Amino acid sequence: MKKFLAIALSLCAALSLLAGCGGGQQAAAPSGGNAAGGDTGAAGGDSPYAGHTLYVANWQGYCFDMNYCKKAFEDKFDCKVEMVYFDSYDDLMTNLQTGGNATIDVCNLSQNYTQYFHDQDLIMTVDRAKVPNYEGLADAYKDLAPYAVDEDGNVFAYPWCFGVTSLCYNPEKTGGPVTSWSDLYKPEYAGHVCLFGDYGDGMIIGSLLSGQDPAYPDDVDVSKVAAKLSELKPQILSFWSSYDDILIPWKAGEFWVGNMWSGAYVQLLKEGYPIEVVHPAEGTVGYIDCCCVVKGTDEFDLACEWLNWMESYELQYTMATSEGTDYPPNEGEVYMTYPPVNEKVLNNLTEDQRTALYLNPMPTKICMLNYLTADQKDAWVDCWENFKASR
Amino acid sequence: MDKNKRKLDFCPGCLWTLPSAAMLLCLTIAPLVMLLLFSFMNRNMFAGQPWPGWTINNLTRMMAAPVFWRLLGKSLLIALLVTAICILLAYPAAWAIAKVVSPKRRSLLMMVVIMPFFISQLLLIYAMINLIQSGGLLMTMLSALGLETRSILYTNGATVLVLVYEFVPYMILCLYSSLEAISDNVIQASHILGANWFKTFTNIVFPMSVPGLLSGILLVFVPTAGTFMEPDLVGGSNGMMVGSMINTQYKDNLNMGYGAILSCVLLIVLCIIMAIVSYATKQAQKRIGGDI
Repeated sequence: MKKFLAIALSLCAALSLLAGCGGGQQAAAPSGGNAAGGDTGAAGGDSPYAGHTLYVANWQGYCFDMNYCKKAFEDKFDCKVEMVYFDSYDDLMTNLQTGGNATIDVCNLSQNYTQYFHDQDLIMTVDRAKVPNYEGLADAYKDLAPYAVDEDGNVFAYPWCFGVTSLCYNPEKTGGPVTSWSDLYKPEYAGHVCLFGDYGDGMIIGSLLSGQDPAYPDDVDVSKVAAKLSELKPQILSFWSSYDDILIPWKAGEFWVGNMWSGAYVQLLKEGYPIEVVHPAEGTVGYIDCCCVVKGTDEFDLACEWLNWMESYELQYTMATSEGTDYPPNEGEVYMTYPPVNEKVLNNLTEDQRTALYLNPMPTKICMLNYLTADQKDAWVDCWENFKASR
Repeated sequence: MDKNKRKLDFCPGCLWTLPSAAMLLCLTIAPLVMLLLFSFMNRNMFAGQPWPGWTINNLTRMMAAPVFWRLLGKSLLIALLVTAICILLAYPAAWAIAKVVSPKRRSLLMMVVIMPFFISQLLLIYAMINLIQSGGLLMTMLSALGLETRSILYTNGATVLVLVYEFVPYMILCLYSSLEAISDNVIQASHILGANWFKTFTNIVFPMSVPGLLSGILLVFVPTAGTFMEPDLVGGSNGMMVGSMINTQYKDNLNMGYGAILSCVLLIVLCIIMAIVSYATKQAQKRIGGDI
């Protein structure tokens, strides 16, 4: 019996170790499919990038590794793209600082991290001439200082997608429309409000609730935010951090109102659950994801082609609509849609497509997490943690 | 001469321990030393960049953060409760497997106990969420029985329930290994000498199961006190534990220094508690059953 136990326990330990050794890098699927045209430099068999490999760091399952993006790029430039997945920006930063910059060529960063990575000398500026599709972006996403453009006007982060984490509600439960963040205080919603557990989104909402503009962190009085948030605590059911955290309580009828990722909203809408979205007039929380070239890359030109590809009409339209591509999803995979930043694509979206992207109605004011100094970040994180830990 | 000979005899054995010693050094001692050093480091350290400098700001910030101490106290209380429930559930189960069931069924039962180890921890949590959520199997059954009650999901009770569910197999395995080692003859002798079941338990079974009990407490109490996934997923708005706070410092705030000092304090507190538990259990063992 002891032998059996010892073997079983050793097996468990070995399996756990193996599970923990899950690689950060995963092998790319072999190239295939048809080359697609579009507003990027297409390559035939004489591509200057034949045999080259581009290493791209991103969240797993987040657009880049979809066939319409990765495979299409591989075919277009006759190269190979290897995805490097990370679980947090801390992971990515540690990876780059500990030698990952020798292998990673391009990374995806949210606008609130781009300056931080730039200050740490991990990403580099790229001449706009190398990314001609940059000119096709909607004005709201061009020349985004200080998130993406330095003091000299050089671009170090090229936007490819944006999104909002807006206010959703179940009209059958709330008994009426929800129009503002301050509606979260309504006593009838007590115990049925869910909020994203991230400090950035939370502090932006707290700033809006306390009548402050989160775009200027220097002017935000954290104590006012804390006071306003503390009144909200009895209303909260839970803090979510994943799709399941949203979907499970919503489907169970426990989550009535709160902020939500667009993907979860679209899924609930598709599945027929009663759900409405509102972008409060005082502002809603948003983000812009950017492609950045890692400093020290030995595939600079190919990296610039990736940036250009991500901002091309062809890719932007496909990622926004799942249409117009010769690359079907893999078996069991469903293409998610992502709000585009290309002006033409934004203008060409139908009403239904806008709804599916959380852009119907269009948000009138988007508040993004701005660059915070170390002390500000500590203060914001402490304020949010105190709120979460309070009774 | 004898001394030299002893040294020569000892060397081959030493070589066998080298891999495990190196592993211990690299995976346990070095990270602990680094954790201690990072506690007094100014925010983050990166390869290829100069040392960010020493500071005691992390320490002063932690001392002045009542939320950390409150969460630490709460985490220890939850860990204590989970450990106590695990002991209460695991003792009879381990006894039954070790002494009551036939050897044939013993293997099957052990397999059942070990089964959860083959399933991802996250899946176990989601399985429990599906069971206890509103409209889930448990709540539906209760409501069918006419017991209309609100789901315990998103409460501290749910955190305790999920942690017990995850950790009770560890306690059963530890207790089983100790209980199985108790010879049936010893128990029989106790009965023959006139001891009833209670006396046999307090004088024979419990003292002899203390090593397994201590291992079980160690395996349940320590990870439970530092956990953050379960309270985040099922604990609701008041579920936060100290592990979540530490996780935020590393993951969201990118403040490795502050995260390290919080981890260090948690580690020290846990070590002290485990030393006290070990001492108290051994004292109890001596008092009720003599030193075995």
